[in-house]
Amino acid sequence: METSVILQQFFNGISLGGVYALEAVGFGIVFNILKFSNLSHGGVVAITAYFGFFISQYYPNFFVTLILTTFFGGFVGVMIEKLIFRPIRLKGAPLTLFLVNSITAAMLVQQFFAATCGDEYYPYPVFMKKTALNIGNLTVSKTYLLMLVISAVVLLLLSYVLRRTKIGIALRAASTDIWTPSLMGVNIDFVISVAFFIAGVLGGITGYLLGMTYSVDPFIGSMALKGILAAIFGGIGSLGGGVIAGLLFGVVESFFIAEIGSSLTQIVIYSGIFVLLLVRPEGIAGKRFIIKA
Amino acid sequence: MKKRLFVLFISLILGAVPAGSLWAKEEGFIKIGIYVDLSSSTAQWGTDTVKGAKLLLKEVNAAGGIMGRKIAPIIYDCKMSPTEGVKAYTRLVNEDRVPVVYGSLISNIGLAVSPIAEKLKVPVVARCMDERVTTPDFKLEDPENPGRVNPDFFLLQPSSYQQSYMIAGFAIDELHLNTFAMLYTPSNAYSYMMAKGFEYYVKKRGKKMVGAFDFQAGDMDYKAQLTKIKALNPTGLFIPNYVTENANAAKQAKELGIKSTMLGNNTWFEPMDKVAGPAADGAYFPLNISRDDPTLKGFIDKYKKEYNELPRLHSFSGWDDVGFILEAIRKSKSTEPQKIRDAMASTTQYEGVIGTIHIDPKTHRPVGLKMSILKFEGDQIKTVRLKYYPKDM
Repeated sequence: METSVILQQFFNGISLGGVYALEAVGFGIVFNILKFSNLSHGGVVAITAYFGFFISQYYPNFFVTLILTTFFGGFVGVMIEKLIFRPIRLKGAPLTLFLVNSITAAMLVQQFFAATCGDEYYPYPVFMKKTALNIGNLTVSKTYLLMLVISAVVLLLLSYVLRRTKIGIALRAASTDIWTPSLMGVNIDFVISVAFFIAGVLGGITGYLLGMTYSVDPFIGSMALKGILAAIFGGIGSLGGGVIAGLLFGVVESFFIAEIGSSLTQIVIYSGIFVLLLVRPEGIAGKRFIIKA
Repeated sequence: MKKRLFVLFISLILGAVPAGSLWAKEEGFIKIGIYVDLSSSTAQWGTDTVKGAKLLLKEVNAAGGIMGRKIAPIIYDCKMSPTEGVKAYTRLVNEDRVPVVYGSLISNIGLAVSPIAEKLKVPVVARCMDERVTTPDFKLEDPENPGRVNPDFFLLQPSSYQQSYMIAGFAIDELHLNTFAMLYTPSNAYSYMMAKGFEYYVKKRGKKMVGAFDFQAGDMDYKAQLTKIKALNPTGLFIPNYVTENANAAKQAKELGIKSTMLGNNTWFEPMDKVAGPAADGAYFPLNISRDDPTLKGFIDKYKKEYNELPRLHSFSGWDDVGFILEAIRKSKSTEPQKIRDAMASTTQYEGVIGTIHIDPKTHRPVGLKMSILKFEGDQIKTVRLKYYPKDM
């Protein structure tokens, strides 16, 4: 394989991996505190992808629509927590019920959009006239570059918040033990809302980037599944592990698809995850990784 | 064996009844069963189909119906799902007791319904393109010998292989392209069969396929495959998938700087212009119609007056396909499924809006239908050839 092709595939993989990483962190941050797999995260991605489209019809400016969609994602995350998870949490429901509610929410969103928006197509406006940069033999898509930069900035920002701010410390404390911080005066309801807000913000960015890069359809949230797998592969409990796994997924997927085809790639990747989790159930980063929310 | 067991199982559960006995005494409305996709990523096709069909039924009913009876459609959403398609078909036959069914144009659904229709013996007319829907023993490498025909299934547009020949023939003879690659979805029967038909024709014409790349249903990113295609540098790149997938492929191909001429299938028509925008610039694709065809003006005006929008491809399909069904009911002077089926099978000439349909009794698919070749110029679709028919079809 030529060097330029290898570089191109690497860049393709990293930019796609950036989105997987965003999804993995959005999923992981809720898991860390409430200890259940929040599959409704895919629903947030779908809602915000549609929201971003509708907003972009009124404000065809990339940054304005991105910021509005990001905050809307946070709002959706908080509302999901308040309406779907908080009532059962306060009743002391078992974790299974959380999982069931999260699956139901994801399906509800998917079916809602299939029934109401399924017969139309929702392409975002073209924000950039020239869509690619040429660096030597390497063609760098501006959209993918943007995906990569935004993912990196957001993840660094999140890392700072988790390490250096009071709410970040509260989130990390709650991820170790949800009850003890409340005995020390931490408002645990607020901390959980913040976790869902952050997950929603990440879902909002993901939805927006996916909607803008590809196009919006009711099943766009299903792409979040790969992010969820990345979170598990990276090591549930370790946000950094999720980021690394997301990037790794993207790169491995790119090279494998090009060399052995798409069908075989999925078999290889899923078998690989299966084997890794058998050998190392804590994931690739596991307990040793630094950013543990 | 598994397929036979499945058909037997379904038939036992649903209590397959001998066709003819139930329908003969029906009076009042003549019911036509319709199962189409109204809530999925292909919902626009289903919605357009229903609009075209309803427009025709409105006219026919206003003129007094057929045999003094008005026509009533019973419509179910099959959600682009083969399972839902089978459920809808069996419900239409066993509960609603319709004598004839108009089916979804999704090939995967056609493949699932076809053996059930053969068992329940209520004919289905559809616009799927996969040859295996009407000729189950069709061999990819031997398309000239289609094998036995399912007597109860009819398709009304050029099949996957035929449409592939159209665009491949145009690319070879008119655009003088000689090396090709393709990007398709193997789990989508329509895409898969078009890809196989394209490959077959290109090789038959002595040209070279330099690469065939696939992706999974639901995937949205094809940069890995397209990077590889860019390195192979084919003169033509065939992309036969559904609208969103085609649009994503076109956008990503342009962003990666691929210079190959993009060649599409008939889903490159509207709303592809809206979804792909200028990324589709320079692409050629075959289509059953061209709005530049003056013979379509009457229908276009009528449709626009009714719905206040321009008809898309499947608005025409809905009108023509239900028209074909009504013609068979008229011809058979009956509402018995098998008599309607026999009338369909012997239809040597049906004048639709799109074109004249001659059903080949050996395949239950139309023969000799020409197609238009269209091209994207920026995000505008232009007609480059009104009626095209390739060599060695």
